Amino acid sequence: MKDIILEVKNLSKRFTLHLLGEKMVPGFHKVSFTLKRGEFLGVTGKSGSGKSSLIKCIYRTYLPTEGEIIYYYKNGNSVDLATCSDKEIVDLRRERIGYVSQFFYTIPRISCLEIVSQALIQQGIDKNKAERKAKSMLSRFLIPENLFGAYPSTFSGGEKQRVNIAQAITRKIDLLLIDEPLASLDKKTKDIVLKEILKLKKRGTSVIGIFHDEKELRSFADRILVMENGKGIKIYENHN
Amino acid sequence: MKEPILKVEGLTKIYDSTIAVNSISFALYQGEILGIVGESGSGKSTLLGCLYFDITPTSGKAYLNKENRSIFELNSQEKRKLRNFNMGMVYQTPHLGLNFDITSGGNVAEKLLMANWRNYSDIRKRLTTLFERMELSLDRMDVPLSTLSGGMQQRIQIAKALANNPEVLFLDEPTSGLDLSVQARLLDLIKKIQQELKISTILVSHDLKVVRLLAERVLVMKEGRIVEAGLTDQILEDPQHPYTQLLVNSIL
Ligand SMILES: Nc1ncnc2c1ncn2[C@@H]1O[C@H](COP(=O)(O)OP(=O)(O)OP(=O)(O)O)[C@@H](O)[C@H]1O
Ligand SMILES: Nc1ncnc2c1ncn2[C@@H]1O[C@H](COP(=O)(O)OP(=O)(O)OP(=O)(O)O)[C@@H](O)[C@H]1O
Ligand SMILES: [Mg+2]
Ligand SMILES: [Mg+2]
Repeated sequence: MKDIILEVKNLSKRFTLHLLGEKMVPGFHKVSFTLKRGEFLGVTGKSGSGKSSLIKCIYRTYLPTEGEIIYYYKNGNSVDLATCSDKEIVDLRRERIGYVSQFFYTIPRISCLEIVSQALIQQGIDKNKAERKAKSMLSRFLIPENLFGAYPSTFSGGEKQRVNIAQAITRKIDLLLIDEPLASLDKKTKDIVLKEILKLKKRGTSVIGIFHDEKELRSFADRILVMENGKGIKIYENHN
Repeated sequence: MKEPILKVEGLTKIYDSTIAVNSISFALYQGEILGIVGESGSGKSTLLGCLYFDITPTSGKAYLNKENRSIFELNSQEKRKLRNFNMGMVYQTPHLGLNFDITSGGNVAEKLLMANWRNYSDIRKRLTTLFERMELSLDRMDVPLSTLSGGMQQRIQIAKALANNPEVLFLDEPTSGLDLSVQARLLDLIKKIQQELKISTILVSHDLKVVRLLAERVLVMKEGRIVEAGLTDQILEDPQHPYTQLLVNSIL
């Protein structure tokens, strides 16, 4: 299993809304796939088809209803992200798994430089080095230097998005889960962000990325999973 | 996160007619902030009170570090030592945690004296450090506590709790009763200090927004029990228990 990082088996998510008379809302149903090290899996499909729910389950923001998410450490050990302890997830999030949400929750009163550098400091990198790396990534993402010390709550949609992505990818990780990273970006910043994500992939990081534009995905994904009504209706190799 | 620093097993506190804390078990990991949320009367303060030896539990165990004897089985001298040297507590209101008959600095010094600090100038130096860290102006050190604002009094409580460099910090609604801007500043300060010192912390709050800001993991309490435990984002975005769903839906 050396070349595989993730094995998703019959994974389903249903929401039970207790306040609305136990109403059941389907998220997605029996999705299975494997992800290789350094592979880029693109996920696409219509709005509401369960794409965000799928990666939120992998990140434990949502609790899966059934199925397995086997994560393989580099040393060959494995753990089921669907059922392992919160502690194990906290450690994985700090060390190995990054997540970029579709909509950015801005922590109040934390500057964008701090947001990005804190993720590095958490991995044990010293403060000065972390800030240097954070600054360089923010600059590459065309965040103006005079905004480094400002709070992202006042940023434009595209700036927020780029801070959100920088926060997840500046540090070294093994798995990146990324939800519509290009959504509110213009052509120029889109290309820059994509280039950085692909750089990460080149260094061995596996990526699961949600993109609503399947055609766009074909220009960079290794494989593409198409979702419809909560089901993975097809998964295909993309030979560009 | 490394090892648990505190492991609680089956902790129960029964008053005549109420079960304030009902068979609670959880672990606090080294360096983390663990949030506890729940409605009024759900047993949050009682739980902290038991761990800080203010309240004698009816049953249950708690292990600090890798000790194989529960802290509740220690004799009163050993308990006092743990409390004075290894723990810090910020009570829900300043009146519970501070002595209003003495100065603000005197309150903090009290904790140092209990932790066997004896040298006057060392104590003074430590007070200065703590006041600076809590962003309290030094000329407030020798004034009566009652002349400080509520927010300053809470900061005195935190300074007192941190005085002995505790391994474990208990925060019981540290920002309740303060107006919003003061709350925000105090929360930022707590966050900064916790990140710097990496003190293992239990943060009790009825406010999920406060917990989201500071804690990676949360326990949800209702009627003395833990009804749900999870990562903070999971509790907020995919709450499982009907009570947690109600709580999340009530966020303003
Ligand atoms: N936290 C939640 N609670 C209840 N239902 C949810 C929750 N999150 C998602 N759902 C439901 O699950 C289904 C799938 O939603 P999801 O957000 O995964 O779709 P998506 O494919 O990401 O859509 P979009 O492209 O619009 O972002 C939807 O019907 C949605 O209403
Ligand atoms: N000394 C006591 N004698 C009798 N009952 C008590 C005592 N202390 C607490 N209780 C009861 O135990 C229950 C839990 O109280 P506790 O103070 O722990 O709640 P809490 O969760 O901290 O509430 P709040 O959010 O209002 O501070 C309540 O029903 C309370 O009335
Ligand atoms: Mg989505
Ligand atoms: Mg209380």
